[in-house]
Amino acid sequence: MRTALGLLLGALLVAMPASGQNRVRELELNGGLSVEAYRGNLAAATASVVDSTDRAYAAIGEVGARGTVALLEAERRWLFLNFDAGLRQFAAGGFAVRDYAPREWVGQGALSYSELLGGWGVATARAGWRGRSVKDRPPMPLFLQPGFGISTASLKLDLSEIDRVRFDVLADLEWADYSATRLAHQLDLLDRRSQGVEVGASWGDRASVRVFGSVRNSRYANQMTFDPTDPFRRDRTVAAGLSWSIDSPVTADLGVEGTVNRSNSRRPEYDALSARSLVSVPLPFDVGATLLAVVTGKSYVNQSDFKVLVPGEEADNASVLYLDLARPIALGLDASLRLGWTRAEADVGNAYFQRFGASVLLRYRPGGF
Amino acid sequence: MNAEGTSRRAWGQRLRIGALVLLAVLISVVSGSAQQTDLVQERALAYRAARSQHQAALDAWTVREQQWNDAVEEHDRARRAGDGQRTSAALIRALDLGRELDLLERRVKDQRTVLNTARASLLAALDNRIVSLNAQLGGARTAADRARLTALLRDLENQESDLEEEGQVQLVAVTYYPSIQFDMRDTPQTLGYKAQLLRSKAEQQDSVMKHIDREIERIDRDLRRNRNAQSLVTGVERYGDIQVLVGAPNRRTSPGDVRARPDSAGVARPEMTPQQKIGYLRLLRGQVEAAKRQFLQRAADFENQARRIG
Repeated sequence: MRTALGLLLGALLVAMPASGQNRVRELELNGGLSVEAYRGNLAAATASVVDSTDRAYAAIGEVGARGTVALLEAERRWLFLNFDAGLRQFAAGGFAVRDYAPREWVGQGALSYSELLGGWGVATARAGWRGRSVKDRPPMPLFLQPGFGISTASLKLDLSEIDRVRFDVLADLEWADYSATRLAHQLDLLDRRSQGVEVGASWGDRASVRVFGSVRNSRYANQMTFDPTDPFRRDRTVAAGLSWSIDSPVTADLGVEGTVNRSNSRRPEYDALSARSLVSVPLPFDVGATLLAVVTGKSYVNQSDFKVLVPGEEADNASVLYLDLARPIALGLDASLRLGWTRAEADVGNAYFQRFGASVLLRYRPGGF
Repeated sequence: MNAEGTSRRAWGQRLRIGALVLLAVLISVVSGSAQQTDLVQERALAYRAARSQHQAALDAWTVREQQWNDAVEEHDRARRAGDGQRTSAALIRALDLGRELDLLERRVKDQRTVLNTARASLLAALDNRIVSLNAQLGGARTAADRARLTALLRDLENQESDLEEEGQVQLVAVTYYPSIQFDMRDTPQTLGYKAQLLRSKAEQQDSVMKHIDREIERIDRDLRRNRNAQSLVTGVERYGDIQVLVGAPNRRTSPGDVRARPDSAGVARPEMTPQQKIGYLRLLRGQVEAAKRQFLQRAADFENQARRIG
């Protein structure tokens, strides 16, 4: 993980001094401090330790960077590198057994190459990797995603407008490998390969609407079905959704997505509906307020007492709400106060864990990117 | 006999050495003169090449300036007509042409530097040649030689004076809206009309600059909101804190694709970032401001000229 982060930063350093602003399209460095509180005495299938507390808290420090570098920006074709990386250190307390100090390293990078296809549209090929590593992963209710490495490759066609409607088609492949440990070997159950196709149509200029539909096949080589004729879990996920976005005079992105997951294994078959809204508005005194809300409802087709799901991994009923108040405090430097709340169902039905957080963050954009 | 013979041999040797020295001096004088002529020719060729390249760059700038000027006028007309789509299209075209105009202006400047260097080299070679011919003129024995050398000198001095004059002309910067120029047949009335036209063009530039300023403010506001939204989403998605969405496990939206957009020549390029757009708007504003300054200066020149003639 650290090597990958080093490679990303190395690529950035190589790209930056050569021709400065023309090559770095976007760059943001950020850091901050948070306090969070967690509620819920839950079992988690993939947590390597258990604790009897139903209240925990943590002080957290984080740093991160993200950006886009244009490696090639020619007429009719361009090659971009996107990266996003961060480090988060917790000092968690309130547990019965011991206090924990989890550390998360996260990173992702993607190379995307676009080329104009005559008057038909633009083709974009992308290869990417993202991953995370967690040291000293704590028990519930402090839920942290487990470590993994995911490689992706995709090809997207953005077709030219037909009667003011833009069509896009995306085909992608994904290889996911979870970091199982000696005490949490069940994380290997989530290793998978999947392929998907998504087709979308969008229209509108300042306010735009996009409808999309997708099909995805996933194969879990470590999950058995107990059916000798078809021994490994295979899922087919069909999703359809609609989103509406506007850039001015406020920034808003509202969407709804329905998912139907069917499998050769009875347990993970579910129907789900998720609504998401992101709204950013200006307030007096140069303050910008941004609200992010996601609500997900999910129902399993077959009721089963035997569940080996990871909370948050395969989405259970959940509500997430974030409010961010940001203000510029110097050239290229913004400060923000962020409040967050999460209520999510764990792998035991009708058992919820909650997370409350408050953060003070600084965001710096060197050189006016 | 021996002494006489020795003396004759010594004289013969001295004569041979003298003849060799004389030959060497003659060769060096002739070749030096030929080298000077070659140098002048060589530098004259280099100067002509630099001048034609400079002219080509200037012509390319003028063609682009005309398109730029049309786009700025179209933008102003569309804005007055309240046609938002046409205004936006004309502004994008003006931005693209502004970038190309900027590149071409830099090329004109580069070519002008090359031209100035070539001119200075040629002037130095001409000076050397003139000094050398003056020395030859002083030693000329026949009237025909003197006449020939004088004609050569006059020709070189004329070349030198032409070069200096050309240098003065080329010091003038690129001219916006060059179709309005002074004409020997201009009457005070036509000069007044030209001044009026340039002043109205300057007013038009003012209005365009105001619109550009408003556009920069608008994009800056949008950019700030977008950044706030983007920072919140990437900040919480980075650590998977929001990964309770439905869909395949751990699915996360990939960083935004960069869409294509056609430029003024119909060639697709990556879509501009808002920061880039602000940068290009500032560049366009600078060009519009430079054009306005030129229009006012030229209008004042026409008015002075009209007063002088009238």
